[in-house]
Amino acid sequence: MEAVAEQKSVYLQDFQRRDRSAEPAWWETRREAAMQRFEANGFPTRKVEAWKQTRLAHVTQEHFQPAHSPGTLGSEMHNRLAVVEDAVRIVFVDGILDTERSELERLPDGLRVRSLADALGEEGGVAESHLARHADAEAHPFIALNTALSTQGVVIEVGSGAAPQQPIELVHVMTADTGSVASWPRVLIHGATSSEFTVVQRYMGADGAAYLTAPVTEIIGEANSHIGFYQYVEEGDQGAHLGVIHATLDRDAQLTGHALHAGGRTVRTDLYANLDGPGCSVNLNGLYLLKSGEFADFHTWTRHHADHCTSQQRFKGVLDGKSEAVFDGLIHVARDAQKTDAEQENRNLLLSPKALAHSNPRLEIYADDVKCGHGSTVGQLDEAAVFYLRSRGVSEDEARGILTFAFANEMLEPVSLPSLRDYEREALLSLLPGEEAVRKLL
Amino acid sequence: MSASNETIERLTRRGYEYGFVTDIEQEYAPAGLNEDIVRFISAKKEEPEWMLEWRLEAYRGWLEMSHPNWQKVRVPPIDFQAISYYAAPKKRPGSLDEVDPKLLETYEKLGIPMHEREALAGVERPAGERPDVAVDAVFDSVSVGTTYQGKLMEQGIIFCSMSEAVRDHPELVKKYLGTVVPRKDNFFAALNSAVFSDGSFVYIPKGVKCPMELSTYFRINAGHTGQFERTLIIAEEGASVSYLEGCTAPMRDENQLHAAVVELVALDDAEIKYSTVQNWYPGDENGVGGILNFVTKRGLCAGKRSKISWTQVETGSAITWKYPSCVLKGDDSVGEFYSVAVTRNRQQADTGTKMIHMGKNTKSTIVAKGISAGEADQTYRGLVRVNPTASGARNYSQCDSMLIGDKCGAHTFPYIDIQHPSAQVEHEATTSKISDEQMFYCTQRGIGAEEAVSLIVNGFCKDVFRTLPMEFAVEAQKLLEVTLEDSVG
Repeated sequence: MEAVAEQKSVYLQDFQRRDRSAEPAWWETRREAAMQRFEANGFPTRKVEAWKQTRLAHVTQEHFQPAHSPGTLGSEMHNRLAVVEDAVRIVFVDGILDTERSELERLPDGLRVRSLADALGEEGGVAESHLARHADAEAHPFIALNTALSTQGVVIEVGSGAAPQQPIELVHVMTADTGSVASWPRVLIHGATSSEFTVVQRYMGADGAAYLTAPVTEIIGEANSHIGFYQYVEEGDQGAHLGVIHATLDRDAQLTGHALHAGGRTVRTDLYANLDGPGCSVNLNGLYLLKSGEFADFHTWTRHHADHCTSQQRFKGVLDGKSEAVFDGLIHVARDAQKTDAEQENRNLLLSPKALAHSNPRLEIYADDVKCGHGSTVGQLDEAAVFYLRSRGVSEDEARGILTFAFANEMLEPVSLPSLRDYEREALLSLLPGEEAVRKLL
Repeated sequence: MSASNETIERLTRRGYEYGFVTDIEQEYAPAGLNEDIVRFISAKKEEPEWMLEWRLEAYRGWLEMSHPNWQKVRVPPIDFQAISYYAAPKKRPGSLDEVDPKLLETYEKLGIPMHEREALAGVERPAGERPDVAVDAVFDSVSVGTTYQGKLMEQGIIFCSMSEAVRDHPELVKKYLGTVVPRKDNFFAALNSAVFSDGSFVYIPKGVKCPMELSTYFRINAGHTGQFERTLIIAEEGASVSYLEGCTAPMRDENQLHAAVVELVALDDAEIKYSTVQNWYPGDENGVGGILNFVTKRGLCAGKRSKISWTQVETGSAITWKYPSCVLKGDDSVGEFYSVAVTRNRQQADTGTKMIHMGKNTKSTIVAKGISAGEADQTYRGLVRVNPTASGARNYSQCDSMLIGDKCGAHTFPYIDIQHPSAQVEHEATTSKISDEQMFYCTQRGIGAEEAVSLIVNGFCKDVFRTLPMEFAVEAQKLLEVTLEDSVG
């Protein structure tokens, strides 16, 4: 407990020490409020329901500070910077926006991308109207810290009726020398009325560095906007990732979200979706692939505040070795959100006797004319299916590999960007036993 | 749905049937809680020194605990110093025949048979008459009588109040009390361990199948008191028993606390079936008064192939907060949980179960049906845990909620923690209302709106009612009708 108390004040000291004179007053007020929230609540203990299964000790006992300057990218990392074909790419290295590697100029029509610092300077702009107005610092300690401490980020705006063909790819890289380094990237995505666009956010990090990445991405979809959002997390083996994606949707807006956790010591993503206008729809799917020693956690908070909205969630996990995964999904249907149709599904595949899966699908319903359901399963590979393949001359490893691939690949199929889908498939294949055999079948 | 206003009004006024108060001379412990009160209760019950020490240890543990707040109910602040922890009728009967006629009358009014009928050889029981049920009647803090004790004793079955068990069978109580629900398990279990008064004690010896239903009827009568009963059921190797509890309380505009602990132990091949029809006073339509029902119930399947089955029908209480659980320790043991919970007006319920799989090839089934009407709020909260030792564990859970009206809430929080890859765990949940198609189908066939709702609701609950002992299933069905009738309109 003492360590936690101490950590609170070191971040407060960081906050007070920083020169914030250049920032506008409205932003200062929001930051101040967030810092106070964090000071009041501190890091969550295991008694806090939403955090009781997330082991945070190695994060709360360390003091993470932003890097002074970006480190050097290894060639392997460099090769992985560009994944999505023909994308507008924005790169962060060690939590710092890399303007040289990013394309902030020559953008397609209707798309506007600015650094956080630039966007803050605009009076009455989208940042002032929306930044830190949606993601609630009270509910999440790392939203509070990110709001208080973030200096790096981008603000993406897609104009009314615009439908840029090029996807936007945000790449976050942590290099090898990032022990105790904190990265607080802040992203605001604003889709104006009837806009249509796709954003990909990828995270990767070097093995061996014990850093913390705590990004907050706020997405605002105005009426009738269509947003595709992809998150891919493959942190280094000592890296911690505690991220938040917060979407707020107005009338008839649609969000298709996809998230993949493929590596990192502790990876947690909180996906908030507020369906605030009638006729919204949210489709979230996610996959977590865990090797020994890893921890992955998805918390989803789907909140139906308006009538005639639909939401669908499908999450699958494959756990190998001594790994642990949490899926905690909430469907909240407010009193007036009649005719809601909400579905949630979580399936876990345990490949090892030492793996531990938690599954907490939750329904909170206050309206009577709704259709809500959830399903959850945990199990191992079907021995009859393994036997079927074995009896046809497929080796044990290959049979398990094929069946595991079939289980997980289902979550990659909805990915509409072929280059990203192939990249994710590689991550999946590399984890499988009998990898070669599965490749041959593809 | 258009049941006529007149019918609705008539039914609304009907309210709670068991809300009367029995006017009887009672003695109380002074209000408040401290070590002296614990000593007072222990002395009243003429307990041995070890029992008092056990209570005091629990009390000291309780002092260091804080009121839990994670549950999804709004609990009014409870002043633990304002409650009297002991209330009992003044006249203590020596035998069943000496029980105060006023008490017998009370139980008669509640429909509880308090006299033993001699079974006549060769005479058939008249059709429609209920089969014999052994009853332990608990009135506030004490048991006022237990029927059929002698007949049960012939087979070695012990069925008595907890106080008698402490006095007459200390070795059994010492061996099992607190082994399933430890003294400091949680805030209310610790409070109960310190001040518990009568509950039932059941011991079924090796190989004996209990010849009749055992049942305990809990009645809160006195005001400004709480009821803290403790029940312990032990089924030895190969034994089996079916046990039922029922509960009611007078209508009062204060909240009364009921914090019970129930422990079940099933050894090799033993089977315990525990059914509850809970009908505590639920408070009035504005949420004033009612019982706060905070209960810890847990069964331990200690032996191989043992089975514990919980069935509960929850219609009463202002706030219900309980999770009858099974610890499946023995290999091949089975845990079951069947529940129907009905909340209306401003009732709140946060209930569910825990199935802890420890032994190999253990199985558990959860079927929970929730019906929420009026402005009530209801939560199913459950945990299925498969420990690393539990290879071949199997669980199936199904939680369905039905909402009647647009101001109520129904929530489902099933937690699943799996640590063994061979486990097969499935959970399904749905939330719905009575659909217009269902209603149309019924009314079109000449079934009135009210009857149709009752039909549909009964169908919804059928999976659970089927597991109740027959007579109680009928009773539960009736209770459900009474509880829900005024919700339709």
